[in-house]
Amino acid sequence: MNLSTWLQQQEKNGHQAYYTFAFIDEGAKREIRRKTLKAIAIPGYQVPFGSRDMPIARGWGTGGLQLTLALIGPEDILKVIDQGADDSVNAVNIKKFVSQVTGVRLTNQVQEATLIQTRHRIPEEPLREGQILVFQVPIPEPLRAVEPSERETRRMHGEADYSRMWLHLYENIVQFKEIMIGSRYPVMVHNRFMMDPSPIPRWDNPRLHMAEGLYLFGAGREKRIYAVPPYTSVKSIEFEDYKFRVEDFGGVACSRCGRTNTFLNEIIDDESGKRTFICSDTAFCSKL
Amino acid sequence: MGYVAVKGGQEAIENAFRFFRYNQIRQGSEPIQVEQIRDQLHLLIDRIMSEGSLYAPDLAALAVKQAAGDTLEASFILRAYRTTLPRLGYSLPLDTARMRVIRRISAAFQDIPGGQILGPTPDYTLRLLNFDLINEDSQTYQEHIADLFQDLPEYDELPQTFPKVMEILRRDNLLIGRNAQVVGSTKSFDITRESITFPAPRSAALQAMAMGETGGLLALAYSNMRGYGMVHPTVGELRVGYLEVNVKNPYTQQPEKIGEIEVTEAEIISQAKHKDGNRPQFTLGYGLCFGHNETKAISMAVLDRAMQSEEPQSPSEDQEFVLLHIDGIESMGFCNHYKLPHYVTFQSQLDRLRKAQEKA
Amino acid sequence: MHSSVYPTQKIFRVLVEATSHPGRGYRLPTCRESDPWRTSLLAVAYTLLDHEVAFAFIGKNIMLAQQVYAATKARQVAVEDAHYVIVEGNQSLGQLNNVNCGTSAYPDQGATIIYALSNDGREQQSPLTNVFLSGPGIKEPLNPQLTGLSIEELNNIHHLNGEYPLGIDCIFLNGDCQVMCIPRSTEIKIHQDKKWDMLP
Repeated sequence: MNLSTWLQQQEKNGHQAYYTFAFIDEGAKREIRRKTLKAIAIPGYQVPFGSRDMPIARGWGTGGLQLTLALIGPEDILKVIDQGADDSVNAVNIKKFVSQVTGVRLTNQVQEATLIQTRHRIPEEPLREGQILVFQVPIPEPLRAVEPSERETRRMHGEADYSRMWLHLYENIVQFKEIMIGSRYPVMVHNRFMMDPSPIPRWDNPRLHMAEGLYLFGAGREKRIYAVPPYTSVKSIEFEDYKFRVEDFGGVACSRCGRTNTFLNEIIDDESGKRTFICSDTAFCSKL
Repeated sequence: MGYVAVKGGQEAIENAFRFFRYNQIRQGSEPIQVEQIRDQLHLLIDRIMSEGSLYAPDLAALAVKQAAGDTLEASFILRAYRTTLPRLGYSLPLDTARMRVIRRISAAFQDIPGGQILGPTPDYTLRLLNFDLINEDSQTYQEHIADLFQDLPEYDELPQTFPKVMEILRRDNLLIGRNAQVVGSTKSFDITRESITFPAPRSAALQAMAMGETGGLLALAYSNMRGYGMVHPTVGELRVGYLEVNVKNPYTQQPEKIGEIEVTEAEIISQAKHKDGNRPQFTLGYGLCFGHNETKAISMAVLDRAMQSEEPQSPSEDQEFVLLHIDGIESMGFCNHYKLPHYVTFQSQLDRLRKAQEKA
Repeated sequence: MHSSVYPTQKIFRVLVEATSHPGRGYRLPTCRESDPWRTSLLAVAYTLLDHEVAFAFIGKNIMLAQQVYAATKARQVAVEDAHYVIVEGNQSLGQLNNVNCGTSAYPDQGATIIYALSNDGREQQSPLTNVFLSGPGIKEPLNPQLTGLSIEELNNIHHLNGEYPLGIDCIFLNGDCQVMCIPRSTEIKIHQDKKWDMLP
């Protein structure tokens, strides 16, 4: 059979008929599901999985997307954000794809969503029990900054040997008098595993601790799944005398909604160079 | 506000893609047909099938057209399609000794049983731009073919298969035994089903390289050849040809031919190993990929041998370093993801820098 | 067996909830009241197992193991090689001693145990009030919410999970179409009251 005859057959079957519900085949879903349950059972530990190729590029959220597709059912209501925004390029792309292959309902409202996929933020509104937040993770290994070898970082996690990370923080303080980690600030989960919370700002770290919802993390390129179950202790690493601190906006308010208690994006006006601030969580910003 | 506008992202994305399409066709030249790409750019197709790890020449040609010739992008499209195909079963092991060879050469011996068969290659031509190709049409093609087949000299028919050069060395006990280089389990690992863990078995390493990006493999293998490594390869045998793919018929249990694939296989001979108590013997590096791609097969064979070094001294000898950095689709995706908005993480970095400046 | 027979996605989501909230009982969507024990086991097995994994069977009802194989095509192996161990009833009778608890580099290789608790009236019918669960997913320590459990077995699980993160993760299915999970991160405390002293 040549390509044109094949194509004619496909057209007869209807365009989407060739893809199963939620795109990935049942065997792949089963594997992701097995690994997801293991991830929840060992909070903060990175479970290797046979990450499949997706029609979006590696590094653009394929891990999060595979989790979403393995979780999602026809009754789910999906919200997707990037940098906190529902209408950002990548979020729009992912939403469009998932809705094409599942037909699920989409929303911008945290309260309405049963499943939320995110890149770089935790929504300002807290999750409730039963809701799942899926993070897209570029580099799942918190120790990668201090040790490039996977074999070695595996050993370090196995022995709970995190001395190199503490040394790294100490060196920061000696050089800058501050811990210089901006986002991706490492946390200790259930007092056992050091975990990369994905590149969320430090502002979001406290919301990982004893939350009501389930947090799942998917790294497609690096082929890892990990989780923070509800009501789990998650502590940002710190020294007694050099505490973990969230970003300081100096009391400035969002120029759109006027709130002073949200994570803000800094906008630079090209004419005057003047800086204004706006909520990064656009759905929350629009909510009065 | 750039591209995290509160509204309007959707429309901008769609327009950006329409613009891309427009750029491809706006000059008004004749539309290129998928068959033309498949047939006339066959080495490109081979590369895409190999890196996309799906043996499907028509689909690879379509991917090339869709990607406007970007090899990384075309392999990516093909591999993303592959993921949607159900796995119906496994073929029986393919024996490359039974390859229907169109080209086989050895750099180790001047004469080899069966002879050196050059087959199709531009290797020995001068790389001068051939301006005659500018004004070709289908008639020129026909004439060219007619010329070729006119006045053919007497020739011997090629045998169905050729003996393998490596077997000669093995018979004389000069080459390490077949199983001596198996690292880890003899059961085949499946990197598309399981995530590679280190140390990876050799089967996983060979699979990762077989779907690796040609340029990436070449760069790492070249670093070894130049001096950051100790492989010192001799091409024992390089063969290009067709392999029958057989599956076991579930009802009769008999092998059943389902088709043929073209592959390139490289076996490189490398420095002697001296296992305690045994006589020193040459070692082997092995490379095999879909299609006709000699650079990839040789690079793969060099890296296969390099990664078996007992004490890695250079990047190409470090299995983790090699295997985690040769996949074109992964590395290209990650490289390009830096174009996505990073406003939030950058804001966090700004906050840290300002704090540090205050204290300085 | 098609996914329309067992809505695997729904069952998986119940398992996600149950693993996220250890000790709580959840209702399985596909369970048939007439044959709860077999239908819920096969539904969960079909959701998680396939030819890529191996399972072991501890119990007398060999037919059940065959049905699991027929539904999933997972290989049946010895307990120590199994990714999943299916226990018929609430007691593994010492056969879990060699179960795979994973390695320090890869603790996720530790097995998952699926208990098909029969409800023939010999087990306790109300939640165990002298067993307390705490840990991730548990806001306030609670008693396991499922009926049909054995204290002795919970004690056994507690010992197998003594070297966290090594250990096993347990899924309990009972005759009321309910499922409960006790992952290895859950701390099991058994108060030594009279009932416990009376056990052999």
